[in-house]
Amino acid sequence: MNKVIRICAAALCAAAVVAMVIWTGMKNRQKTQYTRNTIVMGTAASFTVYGSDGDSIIDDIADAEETLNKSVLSWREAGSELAVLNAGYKVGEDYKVSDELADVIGRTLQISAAGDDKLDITIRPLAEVWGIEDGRSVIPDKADIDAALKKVDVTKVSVNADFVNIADTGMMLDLGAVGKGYGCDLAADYLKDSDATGACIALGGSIVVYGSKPDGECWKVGVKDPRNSEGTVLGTVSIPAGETAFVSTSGDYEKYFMKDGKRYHHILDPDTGYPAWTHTIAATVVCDDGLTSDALSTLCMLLDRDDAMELVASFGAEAIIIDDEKSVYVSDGLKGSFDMTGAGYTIADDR
Amino acid sequence: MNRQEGKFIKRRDIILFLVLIVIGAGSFILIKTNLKPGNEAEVYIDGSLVQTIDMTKDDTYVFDTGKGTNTVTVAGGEIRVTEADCPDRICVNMGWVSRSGETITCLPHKLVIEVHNDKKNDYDVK
Repeated sequence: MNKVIRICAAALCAAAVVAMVIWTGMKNRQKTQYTRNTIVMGTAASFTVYGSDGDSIIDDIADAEETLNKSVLSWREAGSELAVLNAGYKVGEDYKVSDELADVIGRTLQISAAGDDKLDITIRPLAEVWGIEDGRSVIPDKADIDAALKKVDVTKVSVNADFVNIADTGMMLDLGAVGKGYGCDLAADYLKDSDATGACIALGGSIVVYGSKPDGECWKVGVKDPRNSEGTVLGTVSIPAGETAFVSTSGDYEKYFMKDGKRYHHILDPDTGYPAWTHTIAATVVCDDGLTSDALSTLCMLLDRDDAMELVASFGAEAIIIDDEKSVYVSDGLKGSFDMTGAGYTIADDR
Repeated sequence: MNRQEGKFIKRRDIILFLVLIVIGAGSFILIKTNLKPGNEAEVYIDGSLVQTIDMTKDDTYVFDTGKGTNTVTVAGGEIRVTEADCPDRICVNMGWVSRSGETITCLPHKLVIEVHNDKKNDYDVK
C-alpha cells in the first residue's frame, strides 16, 4: 500500500509542477511583447505587437506592406500599378485600375480639393528638379522650376469608379504623401483579424495604435522636436487604451538643406514651385483613418495655420501645429491629452 | 541494492528529490538566459542580424553593407554612426542614442541599429 501511495503522491507532484509551468507559460504568452525595427515601404519602421502570435503577425503585416508598396503604390518600383499607369496612360482617356488604387487616389484627390489643391499628387516633376529627397542641396534655376510646374496640376486628375483620368501628357502620379498612412490602415485591418491584444506600429512619419498594452495604460505617442536632430521628443499625445488611432507627422526637418539661413525642405508648394514656407515647421494629425491623417499632416505644412486647423477639424481630426517661433498650437480635442515635456517650446493660448 | 525497509527516507525518495531539483534548476537557468541581456545594440543589414554590440565597451565598428560603409562608435554607453558614405548622411545626423528601443537607420545602406537595455522611455512610439 505504501508503495502505491508513494507513487501516486509523486505522480501528483509531477502533474502539479507541469500544470503550473503550462499555466504560467500561457499567462506569459498573452503579455508577450514582440518588437521589430526594420525597413518597410522604403522607410524606417518599428513594430510592437502584444499577443501570442506577435512575431508572425509582424511578419504578415510587414510583408503585406512591402507588397502594397511594390505592386500597387510606389512610383519608384517599375512593376507597380502606379508606375505602369504613369508610363502607359493616354491623355484624357479612362484608365482602368484596381479597386484599391482607385480608392487611394480618389480619396487623396478629395482631401486635396478640400485643401485648396495644395496636396498635389502630380508633384513629381517638381520634386525631381529639386532632388532634395536624394540629398541634392542646390537651388534649381527658375527656368527649370517653371518648366516642371507645367506638368504639375492635380486638377487634371480625376477618378470615376475604377477609372483614373489624366487630362495632360507627361504627368506622373506620386502617392508618397499618403502611402505610409494607408500602410497603417492595412496594418490595422490585419490586427483586427488577428489574435493581437494590442500594437503600435510606426511607418516613417505615420503611426497606428491598436488595442491595449498589457498594463492597460493609455498609449503615449511621442511628438518629435523638429529642431533636435537626435529625434528627442518634446511632448506626448495620450490615446486611451482600446482605441485604434492614426497619428501622422510632417515637418521641415526630415529632408532639407540650408542656404543663406533659409531652410529648403522636401514639402514643395505646387503653386510657387518652392518649399512651403508657412511658418509651420511641423504638424501632427490624429485621426481615425491612416490615409487621411497622412494627407492632412502634409496639408498642414502647405496651408496657413488657421486654414490648416479648420481643414483638420472638418475631417473630425485633431492636430498639433508647431511654428517657427517654437509655439505649439493644440486643437481643442487634444488639449487634455497633449503633455509637453521638452524645453524651448511654449503652448500657444490662442489659435 | 540494499533493501532499506523501515528507514524514513528511502533511496528512491532521494533520487526523486534530486530529479526535481535538477528540473527546477534547469528551468530557472533556461528562463534567465532567455531574458534580454544588460546593454547591447543589435545591428541589422537588410533585415539580418549581423552583429550584437556590447554597449558597455567603448569601441569602433566598421560595417560594409554591400551598398556602402557605416562606421559606428560606442562611447560612454551610447552609440552613434560617426561616418557613412551614403548620399544623405541622415544616419550620422541622428547623433547618439542609448535608450532601449531607440534606433538609428541608414536607409540607403539598409542598416538598422537597435538598442536593448533597461532604460525605459516615457513614450511607446514616436
